[in-house]
Amino acid sequence: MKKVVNFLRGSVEVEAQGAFPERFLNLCAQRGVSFWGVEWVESTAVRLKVPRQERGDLEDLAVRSGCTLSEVERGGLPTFLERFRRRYALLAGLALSLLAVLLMTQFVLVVDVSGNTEVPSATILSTLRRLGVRPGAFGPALEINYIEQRALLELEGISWMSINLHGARAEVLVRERVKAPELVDESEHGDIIAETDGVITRLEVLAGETERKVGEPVAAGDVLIQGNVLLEGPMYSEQDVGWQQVRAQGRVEAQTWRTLQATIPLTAQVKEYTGRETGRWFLTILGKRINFYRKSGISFPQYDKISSTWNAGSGMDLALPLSLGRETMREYTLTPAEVDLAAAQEMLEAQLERALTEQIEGGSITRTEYTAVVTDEMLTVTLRAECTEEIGRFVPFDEPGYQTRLPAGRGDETNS
Amino acid sequence: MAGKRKKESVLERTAQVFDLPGDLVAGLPRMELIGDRELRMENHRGILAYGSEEIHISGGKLILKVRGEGLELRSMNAGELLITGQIRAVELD
Repeated sequence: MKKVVNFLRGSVEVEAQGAFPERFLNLCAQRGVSFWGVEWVESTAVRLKVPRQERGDLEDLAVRSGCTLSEVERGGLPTFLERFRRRYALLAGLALSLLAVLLMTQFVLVVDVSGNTEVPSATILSTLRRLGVRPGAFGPALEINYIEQRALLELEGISWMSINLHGARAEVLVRERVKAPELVDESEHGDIIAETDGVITRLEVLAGETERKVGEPVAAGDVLIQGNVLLEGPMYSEQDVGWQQVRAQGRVEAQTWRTLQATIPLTAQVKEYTGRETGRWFLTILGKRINFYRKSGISFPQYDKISSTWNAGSGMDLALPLSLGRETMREYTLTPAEVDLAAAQEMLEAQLERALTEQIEGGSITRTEYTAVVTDEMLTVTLRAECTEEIGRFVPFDEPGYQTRLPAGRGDETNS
Repeated sequence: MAGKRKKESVLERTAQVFDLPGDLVAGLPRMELIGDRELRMENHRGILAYGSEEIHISGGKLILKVRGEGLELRSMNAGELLITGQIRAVELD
């Protein structure tokens, strides 16, 4: 430990020469000058090490003890640092480096968003970018509270946001809004009608009246659940109380049949690369793009542009706002080519199935049947599918063009 | 000078008579030998001769001669000193 302390404060090795060098040692001890490493060189000379700051006191003691003092060696950290005292370029570089480190940590280089599942990070980042939180922004100049409030107003799906600046990293913590349940407007009265033809497989009436039964076929537009409810009179009364209009609610599932068709030509234009290509480089620093090429047109009539970007720090799981990119333009010509029939049919079948799934909205496909026909260089694939799906659709009484009817046998009446 | 010596002698005798510690009352040198590698001395009067095999220390009325190998004066101030090394003999003169 003492060696470390002596190294840090620096030491000087001196040699005292005289008739009685031990007197010099005794004087040092009396004056409280700490020394170590005493070495008797000869009978008239002694070497010892003293702390750097006590070196000045020794001259007087040497004179008083009748010795001549000479400095042998200097050591320790202060002596090491003293070498750099006149190296102005090095000191200036060091000062500039420190300044750069201090300044650079004040700029936002990375923006990290966490806590979101529904709202995409890109949406949050683009909003924050518009409000000033982006790579290259000067951290102390950002009005964090104001930005948080503005971002909350602009991002509908976010209920809470906190922006924390950790040096060059802006940490954005968000909490998403819990979706409110869908409210049904009970004051809007109407019927539930069939959206498509089918055979009812399940019928649940929550509000309204129905005379439909499971297994009954219905056509598109047929009323499935009526919003006009008959209020029957008391027992043995010959008159009913009247009609009450409600909002018809319920679930009506039916077996339906759907036919979808898709067509594709059997010859297609295929790209064929000519082998000619040209490239140009660019650098993106803090969102600003620097192009290393002049503005000139591409001489190829048809070409593909392929962009490759290398981001600094991507290997370290850190996205720094510095990237190098290259755009490659590859010339191609279009040549007609025969389409593989099996591959084309498979592609169309997959497209039709996707379209069917979108149409039935949560329903299930019971059975499918595909037919493929080639006519006039065109491949036509037809899908016939048997599905089970919700066919009920609410229609308000006041929808233009809609006329509801009272249940059969209870008199016809029209609502406007 | 003679008065000072006389005073020391009186204090020394007083310490003997009243059975008091001489190093505290009369400022007599006090030595502490720890094993054969370390010698501490309080109330010394300075170094008289120094070498790696022999060190002479003034203790006022007496001289302490420390003999050994690789002797080194590790630390020293006005009242105390520490000698380390392989101590073979300590002689009072």
